[in-house]
Amino acid sequence: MDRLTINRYIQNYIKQVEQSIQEPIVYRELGTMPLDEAKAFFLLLPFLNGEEWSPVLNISAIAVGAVHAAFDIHDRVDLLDASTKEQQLMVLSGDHFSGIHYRLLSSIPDFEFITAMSKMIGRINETKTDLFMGSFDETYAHIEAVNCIESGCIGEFQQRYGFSKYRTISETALSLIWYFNQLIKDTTIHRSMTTNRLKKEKIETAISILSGRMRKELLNADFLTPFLKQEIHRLANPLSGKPL
Amino acid sequence: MSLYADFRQDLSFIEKELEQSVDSSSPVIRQASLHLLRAGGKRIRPIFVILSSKFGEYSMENVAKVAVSLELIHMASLVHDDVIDNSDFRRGFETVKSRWNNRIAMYTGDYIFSRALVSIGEIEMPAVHQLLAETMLEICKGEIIQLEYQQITDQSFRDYLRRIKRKTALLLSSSCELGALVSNANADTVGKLKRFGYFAGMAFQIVDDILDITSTDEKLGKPAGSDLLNGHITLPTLYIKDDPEFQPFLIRSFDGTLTEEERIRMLGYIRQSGAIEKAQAVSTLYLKKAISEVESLPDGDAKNALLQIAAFIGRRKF
Repeated sequence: MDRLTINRYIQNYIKQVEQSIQEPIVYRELGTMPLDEAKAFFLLLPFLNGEEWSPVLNISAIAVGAVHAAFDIHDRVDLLDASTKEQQLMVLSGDHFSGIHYRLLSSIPDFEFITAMSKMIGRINETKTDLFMGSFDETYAHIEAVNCIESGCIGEFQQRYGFSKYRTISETALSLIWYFNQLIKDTTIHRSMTTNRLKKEKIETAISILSGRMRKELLNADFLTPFLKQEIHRLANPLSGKPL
Repeated sequence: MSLYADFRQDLSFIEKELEQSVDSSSPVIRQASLHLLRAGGKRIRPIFVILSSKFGEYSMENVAKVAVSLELIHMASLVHDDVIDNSDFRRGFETVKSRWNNRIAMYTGDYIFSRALVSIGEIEMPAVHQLLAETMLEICKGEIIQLEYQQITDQSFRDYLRRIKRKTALLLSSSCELGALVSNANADTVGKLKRFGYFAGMAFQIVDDILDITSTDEKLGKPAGSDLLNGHITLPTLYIKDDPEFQPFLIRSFDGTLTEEERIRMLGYIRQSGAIEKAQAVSTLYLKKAISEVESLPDGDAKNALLQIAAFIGRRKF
């Protein structure tokens, strides 16, 4: 599989999520929700690696995408004043996306995954709150919190459908991407997750820890094709540009 | 509420389950959720689930899961509504967004939603989940549509009814339907209870809209007339929105320039206009429909309680 094909699958998946969550008024007022391509890549990773991918899995994957869209839009709600129509719609559209996720999982129906995902969504909100309140001062604890927020739902998906071997690698890569985004001052993401600006040294320490983990995990990931290993390395190290 | 007396044991079990459901590992979320639970509320959704389930094979375990889930969904939507309306008080208590901020309110609301699904997730009945999912989406759609109608005076009676259906009646209707479904009540009974919940819910919201004008700031825990101040036309104001004497109040409410003195005069104007009586008549009509659905159900404590609740909705003052 080459990069063009991978991109096509990712864009196709994103389109399916967009179609599932679309609501005419929200679409008219806020436009299309930007969906995270890196998260889409790791969600589809087992499929891209040749694992069997049934229609049920596809519905579940779209449900996970709807949850990510809900998280993203709710993170954009203003801290102090959400009384403009645009902001009000952000609150409601997040709730709508969340409802779509539940409807999709109910249509399968996968009760086990409904429960697992709901528990994880709860945990992610707890972690976001604690992070926002300035907890997780210690770097390892901070990394764990970012792991949970960035890859918790994808991890649950992988666990549920027998792809748990992909979980650690997805977790490490998505956390690395998050810290790199902080480093290049992606203030949108930054503001959404913490009140206090993360110190640069802390970000660099976290990147160093996670980069070490990533190298080991990629070396041991015999189940992945060499090309996918390269792609993961590229995605998780946006500043290095060096091949694996 | 004394009409809950026969079901106090079931309700106190549900109350404990509610507290356990939101016993978060995050200190702020735990505090915010308990703050909400302790602010009270009528618990009308749980009581509808309990009473409806009495018409089938009653299992407290299943009933509690549904009741907790519905009450949590209601609670979560209130937390997010307060962000949308920028409200500092609800039922006389500080809102989560006011005590903390919008971000914490969003996380708390999302957390409570997730716990609602954890609670009901243990019930392996596809129809239950499909109904709840559709209900949640319809409620949300209703709120989105409500935004479209904000500060719009050109609204019909039908628009108003459609709005309150999604805002309140649907969740009450689903509370009854889900209670009956999880206790395997027969299809005819499920249908009657579903319609009872819908009609009672419509009446409940109309009464709520009337109380927003006729009650006091103290009893409401927020300024009387808040609906208008937030740009929402409700049934009483729908009747008089075109009165030339009322128009200046309406315009100033919507553009946020209404003074405190004008608010008091506006409330007085609506109260003596005859609009309240007209709205009450519509509410009574819905209550009659609700009662007629329940009348043909088997006699018993649950039926009596539903009839009492319908009567209470009509005369409630809070």
